[in-house]
Amino acid sequence: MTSVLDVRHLVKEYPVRSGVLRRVTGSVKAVNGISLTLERGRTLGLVGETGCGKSTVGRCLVGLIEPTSGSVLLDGVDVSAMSGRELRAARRRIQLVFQDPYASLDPRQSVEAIVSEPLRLHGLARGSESARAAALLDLVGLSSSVLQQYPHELSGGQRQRVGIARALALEPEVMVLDEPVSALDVSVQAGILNLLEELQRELNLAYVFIAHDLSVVRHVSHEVAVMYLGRIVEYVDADTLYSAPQHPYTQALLSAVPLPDPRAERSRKRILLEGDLPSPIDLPTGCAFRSRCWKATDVCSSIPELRTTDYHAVACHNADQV
Amino acid sequence: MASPEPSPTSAPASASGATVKRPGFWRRFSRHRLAVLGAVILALLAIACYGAAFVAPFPQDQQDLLLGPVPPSAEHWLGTDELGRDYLSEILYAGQLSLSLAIAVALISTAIGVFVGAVAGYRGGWVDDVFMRITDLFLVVPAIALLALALQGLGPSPVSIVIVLSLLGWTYIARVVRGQVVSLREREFIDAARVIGATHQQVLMRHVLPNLSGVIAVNVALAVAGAIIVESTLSFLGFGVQPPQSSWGNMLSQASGLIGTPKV
Amino acid sequence: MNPVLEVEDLCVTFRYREGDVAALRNVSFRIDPSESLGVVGESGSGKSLACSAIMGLLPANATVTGSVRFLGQELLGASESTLRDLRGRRLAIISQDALTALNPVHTVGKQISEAIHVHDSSRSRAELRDRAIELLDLVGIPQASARVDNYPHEFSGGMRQRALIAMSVANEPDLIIADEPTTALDVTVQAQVLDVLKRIQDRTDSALMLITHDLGVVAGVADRVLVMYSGSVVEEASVDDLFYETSHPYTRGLLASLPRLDARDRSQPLYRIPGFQPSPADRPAGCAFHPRCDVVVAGLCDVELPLSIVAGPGHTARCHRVAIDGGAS
Repeated sequence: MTSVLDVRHLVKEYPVRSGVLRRVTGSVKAVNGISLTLERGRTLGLVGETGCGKSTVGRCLVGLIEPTSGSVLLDGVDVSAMSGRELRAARRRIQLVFQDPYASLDPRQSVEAIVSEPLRLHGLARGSESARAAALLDLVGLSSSVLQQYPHELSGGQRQRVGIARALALEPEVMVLDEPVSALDVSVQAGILNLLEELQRELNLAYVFIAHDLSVVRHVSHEVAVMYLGRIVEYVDADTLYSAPQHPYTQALLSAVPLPDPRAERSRKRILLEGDLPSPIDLPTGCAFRSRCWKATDVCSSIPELRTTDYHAVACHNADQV
Repeated sequence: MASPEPSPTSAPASASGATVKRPGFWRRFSRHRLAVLGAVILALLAIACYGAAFVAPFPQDQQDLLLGPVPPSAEHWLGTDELGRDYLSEILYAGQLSLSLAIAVALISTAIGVFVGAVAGYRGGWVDDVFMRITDLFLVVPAIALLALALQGLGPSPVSIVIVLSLLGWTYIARVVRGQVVSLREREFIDAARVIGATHQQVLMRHVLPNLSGVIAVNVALAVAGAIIVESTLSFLGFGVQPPQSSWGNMLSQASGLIGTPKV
Repeated sequence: MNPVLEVEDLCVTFRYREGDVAALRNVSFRIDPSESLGVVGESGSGKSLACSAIMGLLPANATVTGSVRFLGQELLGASESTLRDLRGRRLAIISQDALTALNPVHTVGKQISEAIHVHDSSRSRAELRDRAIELLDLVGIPQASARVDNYPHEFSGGMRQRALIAMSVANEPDLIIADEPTTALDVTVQAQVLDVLKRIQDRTDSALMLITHDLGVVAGVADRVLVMYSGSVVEEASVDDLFYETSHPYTRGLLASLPRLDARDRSQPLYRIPGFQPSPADRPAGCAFHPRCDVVVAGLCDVELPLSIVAGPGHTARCHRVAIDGGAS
């Protein structure tokens, strides 16, 4: 079975300018050579903290950002080599759901206009765009009475459903979900997460689920990739990641998540990371995590490769041996 | 297709049974008292000027040489000039030209400004730099002097006044629009449109410009007022509309000698 | 023991052209010295509004009734100078947005010194600076003696939040009110900040009122918890009772809708509370939660506003069901 999405050695560099003349004096690698594979009907969680590059990866996947190097393969076809009309047609198959359901809908458009816009742009369902828009809303659990409403009249959860309906309009195979529930209240978040799971089952969708909330990622993901400063530090199936994390950063991240369980919280031993995230302009040599790592030794002055053993990939010289 | 949610979500507002309709433009406008007042004054002015043939107490240019110049009276509300022409009627007829010029200038300069501002703001990079340096250039040039020179060259016909004023007037709106577009460009719904396959042109037309309609409307209104003042200034200085055509500017110019003189 | 803060029947009503809207309805609670009270609720539940009402920071169209006593002194209707004297000295606030709460044109050290100086002008400049360094060190800022001369923009988000905490606790307040102090932060930074908050509280013996939407944060920090829904406190309990002896159906629904890091079975869909939290302007009659409730009693819950029912020692819930079933379910 070929994977529906294959990302190879993706790199995104941003120039660093300084001085009066704004000369390019260096570069920051927001994404530093990451590779991912995803199969139909599966969810890949992409987690990490602010500045780790996870959103940049998502935007590279849907073509909002052009990667500096590396390739994105959809069904084995390299879309990063395409351009113009061909690219737009190929891009239909990978869609993005945004974090902020308030900012990602045009306030001047009605729900009907928003959901049917992708159809019109691609000349799909000609003449029956409204009916198709109503069917899409039905699919995401909204009644067609919202068709004539405007985003500001809808609740956060309803808006996010409209955003999902818009992404589904082009019948994509892959959906990149960029923090799709982080702006929503808990009780609303549950509805959206359930909806996403049902859609995945019904339409055999593949998800790249980008989030900082590890509890949510655990709930939805089959595999999880943990990112730190532009690199993947651990990449493994979700159950193993949560039961036996290998990378010290993953361990710290997991131990920092507050549990809604007071007894467990009291008995927990937290790994508190020292210091702050290093500036991406001035990374430590070798392993980027070593400035905050309690396991760091001399070997960490060389960059650790992502080594795979038994489907468990870890980029750490001192990872616990399985 | 089956609804995945057992109970379809209902809008917070429609949960109570009522469906909220987006208040229409006129409903929202009518709630704003000052705006309504302004619109009424503007409408009355336009009706009075363009309907001068029906509204004005005297026909255009009707002379009454025997009467000569008189101060305001019950018959002539604003008095008459040396040829005995009724000033009120003359103002209304002159307003036709002044208003037409001003509206044309406002529309053309706004169109140019919106185009330049939107393209500069949306494209960014060197396009932005070039366009914005050009607008900066217009800012440092003394507009009135340039206008006077240009009108000398082109000949002071109403068409050339419109052209010259429009070419000078677009920079303000271009700056405002560029600023708005730069911030709009960062909004996620612009990215969302790109992801579903909209071209840059489609993004500009469908998502950027509609969100600027308020700014554009305000600018047109201000530009009309501004153009009236500039046209009047030019005509007053003698570079604008030339007699026998009359505009508010050259009427003022003709009357300038009388300002401060005691009435006869 | 005299409570630090005692709030009784606090009501906030907003006056609009369309009519009055009761945004906060009969909120009562107390905080004892060195106690941590968690206030949880979703957006629009009134948790931040309660905080603003206590601080006397409400907009002009709001009417407040009830009583807010801080160390025995009535705050509602107190003069602005009394409030100003309390704020920042005996009563500290930590807000969500540390970047806007710090002034960008002054160094962090200067702002901390200033916070001490306005309430105690007897200290010399050198003493103030030493105290600022000591405080920054306390909140875990590395190389505090060098960092004291930095400007806020030279600090990372987590450091700014910690500097803000240092500033708030500079005068060893009796009560710290923290309104979503970690919402904008990453989990590892959140863990650092919460750790600092707990250490500070131990050290200064202050009471803490922590307002958050995150039940996990509450579980780790609070001794007692208030759950708010649509302007009312619907459940109040010790942290253990709230999580293990949950009484109110809304609290139960919230807990069931959380994706869990420690979940054993992920194949089950999350529980979803149907419908929406009503806006204060069109709250349903009776219990505000009844249209979404899975154990609603027809003819009672949709008619009569439930009172606070005792569900156990120190545990109350505003729910008719609790009265009928008698205690925790």
